[in-house]
Amino acid sequence: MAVKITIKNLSIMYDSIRALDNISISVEAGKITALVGPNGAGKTTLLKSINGILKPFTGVVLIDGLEVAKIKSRDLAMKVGYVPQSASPYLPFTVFEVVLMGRRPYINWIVSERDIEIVNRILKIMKIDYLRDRYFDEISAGEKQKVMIARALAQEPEILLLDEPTSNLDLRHQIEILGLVRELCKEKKLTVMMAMHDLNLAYRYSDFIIMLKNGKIHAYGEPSEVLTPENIRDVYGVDVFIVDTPFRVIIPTEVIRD
Amino acid sequence: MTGKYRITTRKIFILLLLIFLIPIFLLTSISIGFYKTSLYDIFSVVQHKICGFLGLNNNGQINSRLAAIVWDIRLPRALMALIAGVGLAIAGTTLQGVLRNPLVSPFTIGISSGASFGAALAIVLGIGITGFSVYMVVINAFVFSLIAVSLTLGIARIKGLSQESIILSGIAVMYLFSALVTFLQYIAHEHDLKTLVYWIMGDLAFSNWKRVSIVSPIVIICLVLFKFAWDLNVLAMGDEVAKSSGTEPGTVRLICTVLASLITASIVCMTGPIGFIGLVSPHIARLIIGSDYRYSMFCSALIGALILIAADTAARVITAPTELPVGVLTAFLGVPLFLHLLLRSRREVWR
Repeated sequence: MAVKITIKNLSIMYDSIRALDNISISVEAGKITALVGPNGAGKTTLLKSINGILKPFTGVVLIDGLEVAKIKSRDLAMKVGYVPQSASPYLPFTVFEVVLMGRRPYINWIVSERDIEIVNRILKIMKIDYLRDRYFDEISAGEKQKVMIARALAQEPEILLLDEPTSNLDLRHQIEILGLVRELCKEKKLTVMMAMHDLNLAYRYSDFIIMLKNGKIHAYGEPSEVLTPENIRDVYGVDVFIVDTPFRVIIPTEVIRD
Repeated sequence: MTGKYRITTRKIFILLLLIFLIPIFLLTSISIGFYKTSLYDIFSVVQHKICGFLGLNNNGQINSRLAAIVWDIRLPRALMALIAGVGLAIAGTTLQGVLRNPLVSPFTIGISSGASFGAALAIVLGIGITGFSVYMVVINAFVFSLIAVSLTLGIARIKGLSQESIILSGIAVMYLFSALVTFLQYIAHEHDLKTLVYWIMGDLAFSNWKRVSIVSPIVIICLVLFKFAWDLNVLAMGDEVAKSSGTEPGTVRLICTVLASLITASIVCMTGPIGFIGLVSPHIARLIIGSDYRYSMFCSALIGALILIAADTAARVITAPTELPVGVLTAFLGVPLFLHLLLRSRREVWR
């Protein structure tokens, strides 16, 4: 058990709102950790603090023992890949060009053979090599998500941060993308953190789950320990019915009135 | 693999073609005019002058009137069109890139109205930064265009130099200086008013070797901006993706805006605000060569130069022997070209 990311007493403020409130946690290397919790619980904020987009108000984020705020953004980009909830270029770029942007931290101006090789290899891994010369704005939402993950992978990161990678995707793409993420995690020893809304998918595809509520960690552990009816009721205010065979299936039944 | 190379080869071919067109346009511009000159005339004058500089013997006698027209008037003017076209187009491409908005031009962030106000102060009130000199208008225009941009960036800084804050404060600053110019026009004497209105239209008629040599260093700034092509590429995906790929959005935006403003201010203070080049060259470039800034910046520079050289030639010729200000004509030449490419392309130009 090796620790990849250490978060100590982290608080993050948006103006006067405390989005993360004194969080401390250690994230395992080479595992998939899912972040769950209601809207506004701080999932995205936590992801953004790990790749330095948001600066800590108090506390520190450490990657391999190094403080994120002190790593140069270019060096950080070689360690951490980030896939935001939604992002698309305002200009028509091709899929190849978008994925090549992931090589930015390694490129000064001239693109090397190696850069092109890496991009081509990642397009194959993500099974989107047939899209390479298509324009990004002409492909489907599921394909776009794969391209964005490919772009982050082109940075050759050790850590991959995914912000709701499966929201607004069809059933097949959800399973396909999470399956790819799991394979990558195993093969490339990637440490993956992903914010999720679908608790069933979080249960199936993650090794650990961090459950957030109002900027605080409500529960942390293996999926079976965290995703219990009690925790879900406390955090979401929803009663659920759980079927435990062969996977755990969580079925929401009723909203709890205060 | 082969696909990528085919596309790259095509892009390089387009660039080479445009580079090849530059001397053709320059020579055409120099030879056309009220006083007709042939290609042979141009070459013999240029050769005569260069040999003169190098202290070599020339046997050939040169018609001094021909020499004056080619060497002292048309050549510096054509070169000024070339440099101004390149500079305005690069500044436009850069600003559209860092502000992630294809409707932005170097003038959107207040440069032209600042310059116009500086010029108006000199022309109408005779107030100059450096006291009276022939270059009072030029220096005033330069200084005030930079004051306008500093004001824009200063206001935007409060909001962390986001793209929206720069555009909106730029528009505010533009209106402020436009109002001041309007006021000066209102109180100006008839003769000064005419001079001022003419200046604001933008013109290359005042080009001479001295001005060309003062403006030419902006080409170096243009080369520095090429260095930012990758940053502009990743910025296209948004600040967060840019940051996560190792580009600092705020820093890049500040440096690029300042450099683009320096380029534009240096040009505009000499020529007056020649509109349209900075707005439309980046679009035309993207339509013919794609969005990747490594290629589109260079392409845009060439397109800007070609349009401005052509427009200036047309401005000299259409109503000969009198001339039109080139600022009036850039749109007449750029719009059809732009619309043709826009309507022909099957794709959206931006999202």
